[in-house]
Amino acid sequence: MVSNINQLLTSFGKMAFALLLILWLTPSNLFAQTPPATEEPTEEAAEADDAAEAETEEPEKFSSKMSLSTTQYLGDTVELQGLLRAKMDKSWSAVPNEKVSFFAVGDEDEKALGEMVTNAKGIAKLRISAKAMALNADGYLAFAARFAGNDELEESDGDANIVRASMKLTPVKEDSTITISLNVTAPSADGETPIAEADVVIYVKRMVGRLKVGEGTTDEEGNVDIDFPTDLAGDDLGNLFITALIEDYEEYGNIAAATVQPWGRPISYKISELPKSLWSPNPPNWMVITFFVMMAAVWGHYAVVLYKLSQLKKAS
Amino acid sequence: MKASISASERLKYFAPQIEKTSLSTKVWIVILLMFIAAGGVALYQQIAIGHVVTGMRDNVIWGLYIANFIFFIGISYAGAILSGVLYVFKVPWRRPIVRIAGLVTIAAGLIGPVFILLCIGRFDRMHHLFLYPRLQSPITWDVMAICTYLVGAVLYLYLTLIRDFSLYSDADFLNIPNWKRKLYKTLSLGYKGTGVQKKQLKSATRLLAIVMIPLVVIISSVLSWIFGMTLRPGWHSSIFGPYFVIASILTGVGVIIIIMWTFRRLYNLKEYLTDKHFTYMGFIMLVLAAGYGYFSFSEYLTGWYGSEKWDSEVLSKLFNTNEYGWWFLFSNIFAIVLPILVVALPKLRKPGPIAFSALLMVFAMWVKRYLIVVPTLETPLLPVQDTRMEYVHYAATWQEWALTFAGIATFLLIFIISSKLVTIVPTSDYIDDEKA
Amino acid sequence: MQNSDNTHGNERRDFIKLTVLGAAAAACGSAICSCGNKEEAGKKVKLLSPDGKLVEVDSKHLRPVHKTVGVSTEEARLGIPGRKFVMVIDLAKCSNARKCVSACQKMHHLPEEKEWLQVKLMMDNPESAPYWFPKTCFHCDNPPCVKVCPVDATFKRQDGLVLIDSDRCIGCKFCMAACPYSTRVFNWSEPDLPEDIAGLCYSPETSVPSQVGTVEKCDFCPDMVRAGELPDCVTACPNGVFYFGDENEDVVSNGEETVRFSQLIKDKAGYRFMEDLGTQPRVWYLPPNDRLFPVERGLDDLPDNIKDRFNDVM
Repeated sequence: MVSNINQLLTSFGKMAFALLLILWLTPSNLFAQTPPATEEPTEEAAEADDAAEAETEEPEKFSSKMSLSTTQYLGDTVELQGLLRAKMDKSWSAVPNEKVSFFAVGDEDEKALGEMVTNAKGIAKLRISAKAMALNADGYLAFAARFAGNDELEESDGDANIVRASMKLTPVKEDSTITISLNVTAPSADGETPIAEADVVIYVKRMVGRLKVGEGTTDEEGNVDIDFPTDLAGDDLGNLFITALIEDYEEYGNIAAATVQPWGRPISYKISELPKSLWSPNPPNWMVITFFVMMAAVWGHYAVVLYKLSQLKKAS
Repeated sequence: MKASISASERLKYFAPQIEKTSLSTKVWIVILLMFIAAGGVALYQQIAIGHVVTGMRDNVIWGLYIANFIFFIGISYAGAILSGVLYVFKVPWRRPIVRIAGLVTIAAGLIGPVFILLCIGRFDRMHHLFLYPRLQSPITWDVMAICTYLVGAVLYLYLTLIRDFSLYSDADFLNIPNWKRKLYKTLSLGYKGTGVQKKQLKSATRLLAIVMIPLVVIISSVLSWIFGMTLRPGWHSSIFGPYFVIASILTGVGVIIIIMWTFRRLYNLKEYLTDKHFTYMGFIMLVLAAGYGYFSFSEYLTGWYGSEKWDSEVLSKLFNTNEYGWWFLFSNIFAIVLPILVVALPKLRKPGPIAFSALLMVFAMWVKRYLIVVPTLETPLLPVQDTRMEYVHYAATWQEWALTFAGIATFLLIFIISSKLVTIVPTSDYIDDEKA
Repeated sequence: MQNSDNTHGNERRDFIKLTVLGAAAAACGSAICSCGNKEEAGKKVKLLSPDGKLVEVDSKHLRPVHKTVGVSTEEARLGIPGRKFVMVIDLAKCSNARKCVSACQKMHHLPEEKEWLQVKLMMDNPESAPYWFPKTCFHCDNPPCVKVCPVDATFKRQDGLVLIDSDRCIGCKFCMAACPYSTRVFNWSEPDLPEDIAGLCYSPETSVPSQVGTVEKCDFCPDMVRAGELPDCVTACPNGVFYFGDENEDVVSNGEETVRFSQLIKDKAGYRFMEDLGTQPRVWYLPPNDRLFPVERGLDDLPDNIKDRFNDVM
């Protein structure tokens, strides 16, 4: 109970802070700074507004936004993905190279999980094991991602509350057909409860992005069998990186299962010598032979002529 | 008749050519140097500012320079093959012509490649041609071919000069400075006309003359393949090899006729360069013009008759009087019809008209080179769709013209200077006749 | 071996200044560009540097740099193992928005008049319907341009790309004469580049910086592909016209959807432009059937100098 109130208070505090922030950022606040002499505050005020902005060197902070999403893997692994963006020029731009701290939020306290730096797309990812993590009072796994802000950007945070779930992936290869059997369940007091009617998509990792190769919906038992194509190209060993994904389903967040299977056609990674051709650095044999035979014939004659000239000199 | 005159007497007749330089010649040299200087200014601008000073742009990537390159190098090939053929087949009237042909070979052979250098964006990287050669490229073939050819041409000219050098250095009556005499002596390699020497020199010359004939045919074709190997309408034609060979020789014969006529007047060589020589050269010109006309006709006829899209587009520009029509007509009439007519009609078969028709023919052939290069490049396979006029139509700038005239001036200058070093008629060639 | 040092010959002060600027541009490049914002030249824009500092830079310096420095020329000649790059251009979706052109120019520091990627208005015959035709380099499997290069400056890689080593190019322009698609452009004068770009070491994979007297062209942005990203024209297109991918993996993506290459070609009757030339392009076109936009729409909002290009057709 106490912790709940505590949480309420914190969120209230946050809200109040945000309200203050909005107030401080709104032009009305700036109006107050300008002398209230003008009776028509419309255009002139706007100009004064600009002037004040130009004069005051005080850095104006940009607002930032943190979006946290989760993906649950088998074995209680949770991948946290924080997307940090800042509002610039009226659009949200990714903020790279910023530290994002991830927390597991308990009823009474928070546990720091780790810190990651955002990539060029503003994304920071952290994979954790949630095995030992306690559920909060409402039965959720609660996470938070925070960005502490810097000289230019406001702080921001995002949270995610999810219910435990897991997807079991079983690759089945029979003769010439391949099937991926999936079983999606949520743990409960009396063992595993199947998750029904969840849409599962099978992806294969490709050079650019992921290729959707199959989809299905789980039945009452939480089971689905999805046919897998047999004509895909793998890496140099024929391996395929396969992911089954349920995207943002109910209160489970994303649920994923991944496997690597040698079901692909191997692609040679060897850089071989280019063929002898017109467009390669290696000329065709006939061309080399013809060229050198002709050059040798002509220069050979030149040599004979020069020899004869030397004889000429000798004879004098 | 002439055979009874001794070699030294003959040399006395030619002596003024190499002994002194007349005032008018000096004026000519100054004028030519001015043209070359103007070309120098243009070249400086092209290097300092970039190729943007030329009229060439992304569609018409080659222009006057390449036309000049084909023109000059073709003339050079003609000189080589003509002197080779005349020598190998022991054509009796060859003597006064061989030297001119040899000098044309060298002068034009040195200028032609300069024009291709002007066309190259980075001539500071020319060594890459030898560092990273690709045998599959027609440019590699051409570079190797021209290098090989120039060595052979210089060697051949030198072989035909050795006996003259020996003659000059031994002629005490020649009023020439000491350095010149010494130069002649060194270059004569101690040739004294002994039996062994005579035999060696003769077989060496004959050997090289034989080599030069197929060599010219091959390299002339290689030149054409720079165009023929591309997928461009008007260029991608199997006839291009022989077409270029015959066009080169025709142009070169014209240039030789013009030079024969000029020196005949300049050095009073009527007795050597007789009307008969002009008639014979005229016949060669006639045969070549007819052959060239035949190739041209079959080239354009097949393109026009088949009327494939791209061929038709280029041909429509060549036949359209608002585009290249008049020039196309001019080039065909003056390069094919006129030389044939002038030589075929006995009344016109005289040195003056033949030389004049040769002059017009040579100019028409130059126009033809332009018409081979530019209209094709102005007709890419995809629509140009560009609003920048200079990217749509090629117009040479003054820099390109200045360098073109500088090239012609250099050609003439090389000729004037050579004619001060060696006699235009190979004096020693007549010695054999004396003995006979 | 080539010196991989990014900046050379600059004074120290300049070096520091430029590094900051370059870094800012690099960082913001990804941010700004991914949103498809187009900054106007000469405008001051506020940007975030990698360390979170706010910097103000002239937007003309803000042409985003390719993220990787580029591999060495030796490595760039080999290609990316196991790949066979392919592009599919869906003519039914093109509205001549020209975002591909400007993105390409931005990424490769090209002036506005230099287009590696062109959008032509094609009309096959007077009776047929005109259509917009975006044209990249076709990276032919039987490339006429590579055949004729005398110094091996332009080369074909195992992964299918045709690239140019501008440090080796002698500028003979033979490749331009040989290319039937007018793909290549020449630097007729010293390119006007900001100092930090001009100081970069050239890599055939970035094709930056342009060098006077040499030939250049569309390179399919192999440096982006190495970083696992799509070429700039693909991501810049608002209509998803361009699909880029790997023929070995049999997959192409336009950033929004990832599909099987063979299936796409089969379903939409993909073809290669001027197949009869025998150049075997690596770029495929999907015919302009059931078009998303009327062709006239492509003329809207065009500056006059570009609109005038199509006067002959429409």
